[in-house]
Amino acid sequence: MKTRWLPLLLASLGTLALLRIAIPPMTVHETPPISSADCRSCHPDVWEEWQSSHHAFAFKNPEVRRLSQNFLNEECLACHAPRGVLSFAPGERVLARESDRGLGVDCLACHAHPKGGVATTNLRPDPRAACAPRTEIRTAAVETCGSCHNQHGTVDQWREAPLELKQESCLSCHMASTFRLHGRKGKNHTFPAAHSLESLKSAVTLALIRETKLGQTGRVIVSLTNSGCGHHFPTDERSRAADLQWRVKTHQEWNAWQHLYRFRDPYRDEADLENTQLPAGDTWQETLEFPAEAVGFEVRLLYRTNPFQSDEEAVEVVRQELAF
Amino acid sequence: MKPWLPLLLLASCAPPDTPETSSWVAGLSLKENLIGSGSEGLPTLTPEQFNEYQAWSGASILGGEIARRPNRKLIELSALLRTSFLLQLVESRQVNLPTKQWAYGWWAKAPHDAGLPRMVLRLRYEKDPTSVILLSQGLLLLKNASGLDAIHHLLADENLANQTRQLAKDSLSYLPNHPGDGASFAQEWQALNDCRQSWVKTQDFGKINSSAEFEAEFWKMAQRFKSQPLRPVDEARFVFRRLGPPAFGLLMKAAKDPNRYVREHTLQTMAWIGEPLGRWLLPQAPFWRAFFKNALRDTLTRTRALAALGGTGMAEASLLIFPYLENGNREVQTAAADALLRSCPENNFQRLSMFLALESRISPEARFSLSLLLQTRPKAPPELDPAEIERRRRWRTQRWSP
Repeated sequence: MKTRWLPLLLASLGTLALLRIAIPPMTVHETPPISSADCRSCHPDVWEEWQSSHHAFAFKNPEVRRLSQNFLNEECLACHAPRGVLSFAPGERVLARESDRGLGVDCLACHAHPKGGVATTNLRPDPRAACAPRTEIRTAAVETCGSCHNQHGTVDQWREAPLELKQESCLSCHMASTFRLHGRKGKNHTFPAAHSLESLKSAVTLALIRETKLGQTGRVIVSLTNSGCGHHFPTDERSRAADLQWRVKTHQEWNAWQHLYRFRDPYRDEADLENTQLPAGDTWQETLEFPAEAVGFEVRLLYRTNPFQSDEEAVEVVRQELAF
Repeated sequence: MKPWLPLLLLASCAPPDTPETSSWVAGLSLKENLIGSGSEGLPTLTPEQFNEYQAWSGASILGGEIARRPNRKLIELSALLRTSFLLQLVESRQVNLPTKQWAYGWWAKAPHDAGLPRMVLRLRYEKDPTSVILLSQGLLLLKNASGLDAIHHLLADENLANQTRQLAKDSLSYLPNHPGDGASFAQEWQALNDCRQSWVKTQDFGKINSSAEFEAEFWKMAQRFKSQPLRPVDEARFVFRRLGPPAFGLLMKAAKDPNRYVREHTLQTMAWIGEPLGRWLLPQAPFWRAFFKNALRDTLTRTRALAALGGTGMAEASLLIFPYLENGNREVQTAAADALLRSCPENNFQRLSMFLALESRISPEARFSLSLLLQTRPKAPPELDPAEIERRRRWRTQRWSP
């Protein structure tokens, strides 16, 4: 009896094993959420925060559209509609996803766990939650942000920054702790950065020091210090520029603004330009002379998200007037 | 019968792979392929060699009697050394305009296919009209029409200098379908447009036997796919999209590279090539079926493999794609729907209708792609971006397979 069915069984097993190799496996059992839109019902407050962020705006941002020729430059898609970053090795470049691109850098971009379900930094995730949360410390790691934000060297700049400015990680400045409904503590998902005037203001310090000089002209030392930024100022996209401008007041009227200095990492084909970003903790300064008849002198810092923006479109970060 | 035996049998029918596993089989790495090409590609010039050749070029540019000797030396130089020197000149940011035009002039007279990848890349960066025309002439001699759009653009520019216009007109005699001596400009213009159209569909202007050096240069260029900064990746994609059939087989080898980024970007490039690749693959059914069956097993790059397969536009491709639409996750379903939009023949539309009727949770992208196949003017989902809608409408009209 034993000898009759054993070869049959072994043959069946062998056939099944061969079939398993020959037929391409294709079904993937998904753990919810399958789209970031699913996150909204349980986390409406986080969803609202994220919706006001530039992560949510990443794919639809008209300025990005213009600079990427409406994503004809498909390489831009990788960071503006990325797959889950945790499915890549730490710090490695992320790749573009196929679906729900309109959601930009969505919940799953940072929270999709490679093994299914969502990744959280919570050490005791609720096992009953529909999204099957798993603790994954990497979610909050610098390298995770670096998959996109080191394309232009921001994370490398942060590594070189003075300790007092770099703080613990990207989250220290860009995802501060917040309290939501019922006193629940969490991380703010609005990601304040260059698009927030408050963040820009906290990044730099503008100072004017008047020097007395014999003769007909006045002298002023203008300085800008990267005093609150854990990376260069400005950083990330090469399109970003910060311009210092100055003007004098004579006979009760302010003259036109004059260009003083541009802080920017130029595009690769702008071979004649130098990188003039202001590293964390560094100070730039220049001495200016102005006519003796001046009755007023002021300097302002304009921030542009692209170098061709007019003064009217740019954001005025800070303006300082010299006391006469 | 032992009670555990049925359990063992069931275990052997275990569910298919999960996202972190893959039954895909890797091929040779880029380095191994480079060694396998039997060549090291274009030689790297020593500084002494470069300086010597540069002195010749300086005298050659002056023309007249003084140019005779250096020109002869350049002619006597091996084609590979000369091509390497010309490339080094035109790739330099410091080169002045006369030297650059001189270098492209030599390329136009005696191009070697080992220079193809890097010369095609010059099309992306070269701004000087004369240089672009000469560069395109050399490419045409190697049966590569990537520069024709630039020539078309220049001829349509009313402000182009007369001398440059004449040079652009002269290049039309390089067209494989040139109507012959004495043809009117209207006839030549028509020939140019026919060629451009044909290139878009086939990228094939006749068989050429690629050299081992060309293959080696291909593998060297493919190294850029490993780059973490995106610029080198984008450069390689730009080039490989324009190399035509000499690169198709090599791309399919690169798509088996053990490096995930190399596979991803190679398959993406194949998807962008689209129709010419499909026309090239169509007569080689066993080859492409085996290739894509293997590529689709790779869970990491499955969406890109689907895009490459759909991009070929071959009706038969849809048979391989359907299971991924019906059983894939959201990403895979979207890629499969887009691939079907580019390839699915009408006799499979009923299967699509049934799928759409039963499946409610597919992405807006996938739903719109499938609707485009089944309806003449479907309403686009509000969450879809206009550019995404436009791209899919374009795919719908670009289908070539019956």
